[in-house]
Amino acid sequence: MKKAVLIGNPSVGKSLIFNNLTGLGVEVSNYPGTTVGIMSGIVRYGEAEFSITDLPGIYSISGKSDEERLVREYLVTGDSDLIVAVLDAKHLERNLYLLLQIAELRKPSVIVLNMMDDAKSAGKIIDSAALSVKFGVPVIETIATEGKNLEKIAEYVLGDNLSIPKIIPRYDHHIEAAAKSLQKYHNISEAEALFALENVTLSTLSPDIMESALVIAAEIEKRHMMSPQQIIGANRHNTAKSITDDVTSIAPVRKRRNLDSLLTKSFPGIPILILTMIGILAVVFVVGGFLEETIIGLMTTYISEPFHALGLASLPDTVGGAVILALMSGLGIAFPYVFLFYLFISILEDTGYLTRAAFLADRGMHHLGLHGQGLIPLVLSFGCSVPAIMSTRLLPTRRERIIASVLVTMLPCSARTVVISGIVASFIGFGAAFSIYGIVFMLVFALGVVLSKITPGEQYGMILEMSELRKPIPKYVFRKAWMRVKEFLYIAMPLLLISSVILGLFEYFGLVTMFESFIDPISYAVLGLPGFAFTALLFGILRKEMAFETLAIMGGTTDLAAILSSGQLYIFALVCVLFVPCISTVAVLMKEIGVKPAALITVFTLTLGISLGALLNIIFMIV
Amino acid sequence: MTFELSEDILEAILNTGKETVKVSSLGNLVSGDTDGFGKAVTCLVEKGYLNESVAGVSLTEKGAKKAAQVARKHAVLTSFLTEVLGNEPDNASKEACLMEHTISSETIEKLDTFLEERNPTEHEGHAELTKRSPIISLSECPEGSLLHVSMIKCFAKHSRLIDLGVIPGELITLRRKLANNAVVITVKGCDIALSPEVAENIMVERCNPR
Repeated sequence: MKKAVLIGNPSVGKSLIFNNLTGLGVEVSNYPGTTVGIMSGIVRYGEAEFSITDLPGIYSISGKSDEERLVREYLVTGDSDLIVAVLDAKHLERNLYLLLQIAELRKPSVIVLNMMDDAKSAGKIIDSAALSVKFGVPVIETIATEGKNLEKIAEYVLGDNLSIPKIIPRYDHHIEAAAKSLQKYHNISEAEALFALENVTLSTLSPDIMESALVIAAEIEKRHMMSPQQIIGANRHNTAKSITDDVTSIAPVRKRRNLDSLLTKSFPGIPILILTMIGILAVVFVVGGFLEETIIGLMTTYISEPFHALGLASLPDTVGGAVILALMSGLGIAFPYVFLFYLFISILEDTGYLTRAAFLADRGMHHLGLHGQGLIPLVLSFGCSVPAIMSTRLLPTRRERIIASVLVTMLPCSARTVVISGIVASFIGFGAAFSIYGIVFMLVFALGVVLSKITPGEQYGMILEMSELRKPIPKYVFRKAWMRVKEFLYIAMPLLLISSVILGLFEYFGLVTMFESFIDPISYAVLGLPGFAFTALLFGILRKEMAFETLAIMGGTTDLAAILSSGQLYIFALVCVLFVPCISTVAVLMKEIGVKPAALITVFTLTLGISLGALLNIIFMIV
Repeated sequence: MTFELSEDILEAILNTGKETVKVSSLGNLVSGDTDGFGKAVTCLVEKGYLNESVAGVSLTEKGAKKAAQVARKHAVLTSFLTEVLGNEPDNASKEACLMEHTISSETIEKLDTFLEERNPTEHEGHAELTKRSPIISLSECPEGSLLHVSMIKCFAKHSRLIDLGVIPGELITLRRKLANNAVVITVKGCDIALSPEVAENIMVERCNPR
């Protein structure tokens, strides 16, 4: 089967083309050794099939970020038959920079000029035939949002004569000479020689080659007072510019109103930003809470209760009950919270507002060791930690991804809000409830400040392209949110099922009671809580609000004030909010940042929760 | 001829330093061949380089950029011809007028660097729009200014800037600047948001008409 690979700048419509071509046959796969997602899928066109891979959007293949390294290795050493380079026709010049780099790899390629409609309305008329002649490969004009001409890509991939780009960008003669001699002595391709000169690592370049390239590069840098990387970059930009000038003609356009005069100014930009975020949170809380109740209610009435009414033997009843409980937990989070949140985030993404929000939030985020883009995970975390951690993929460096993941795990999600409001606000008072929020926020802030100092990895400032403002297309917004819900269910469901069944079995074999009598003295000594309350905390690992529910069940009453003192309730709520993220969060942490950091976070939050609880216990005893 | 004439027109409007210039007065400003002058102006308006109003014509953002490029080429060439070759200033300017339309931006940058290396102290300004403006950091410029990138400090840390086209010699516009010096710039038709610590490492010259 033929293999094609999609490459291009961020937000040029690659994923849209990918989804359109693959239809529903999308497989989500993770590239080994990295946290960066690569999507692969099968395209069926007529009788034939081919596989297509969607690489992360990048601006250059000679950069040092994880994504860029990944794409570079994939293109140079991978076994793809055809590179499909997707270009944003409106910003042709900038996009040609990457295309020139790809062309130099001398692999069969095809150019897809996407967003032809945008280019046209911006008054740019592109002579794609001339572009095709210049690069020596065919050019396909598409409008991915309308699905226009996408079948031509499939036709071309399946065709017999794939052509190799023949364009030769002109470089400074020192660079050209250096590249020639590297090629000759080390028997490498021109593209590889240029990578070596730019001091870019690649698995096919031995340390030997890198070293001799480094010597030559230093020589060139001395002469030009510019690093080869800068010279090569400037040469490529100049080539891109002259090609663009040759193939583009300008038509007059009507000037359109520019919303950016509102959105990116401190005023009214920041109030708009705050209102938008609070608005989304409020809607998700209200609508999500309602949906969750409905789903849980329906499942209790139509699945859980009939199942228990079957009167099965007690072991299958316990296991079946545990499976149903896991399903309820999973679906109770997935649809109301994950789906709703992603619906809003997809809208913000597709309109292009998200990049503007990031720009405005950049300043505040600096204190936490994050940049503007870090706003999104933090806002999401008030709904549910799982999508919030999934969204840390937007962040450019691993360092920021880790910091954001830690902070997200700490911030109170909607389930923890249920615990706080259900226990503290109802039985102690609003002031006490807010004080828990206060404690958590202070901890998060302090932690952010500390993490920004100790987390390894270099800190880069934000360099973020602002996407064009446009109307979102409902179909794509829904599809994106839907795909993320599916991803969430894939990650969280297995773990929820396993842990729920294990807990169920423990209860069945009386282990829970044993544990309770074992933990009771310790729990009482450290946290001032009776054993059953500690067991309730453990159930909170499945789903945080279950701690609250279990406490009521184990205590045998919904009037919690009758069984625990206010101090105990306060400690219970605080420990529950802080300690150990729920099992779905742990699962997604493991997937996104690796098993070791996930384990570290879990241990850290556990220690933090217990020690704060213990501290409070001591304080309450003294007072 | 039309191509050179249109570049001359843009340059002339920029050199007046006024927002809006009467079409009638433009005729006197553009030296040499004035055949098809009106046609050239109409053409420039159509292509989006000029705005036409009752008061006259004014440069669009794109036009201002183009004009600044041409004016810069003119200035660098003139100073090369006078300072290095020792030509008469008047003749040098005339010849620069002819060469400025065909010389590539790359050559101009090299020529400029050459001039600077040759005589860094005296090389203080070929004319209005070149090295006379001091080189300052992007964070010091006001919103809306048209800027010429001269250097990027701590370049290795910000190599993404090259990928996006922020390279020495490029003309960029400062679109937005917040109180904390976070900025949005327009490069090659794309808006790019930068953190304050990135912006302060980009050294630029202002080339707005004064």
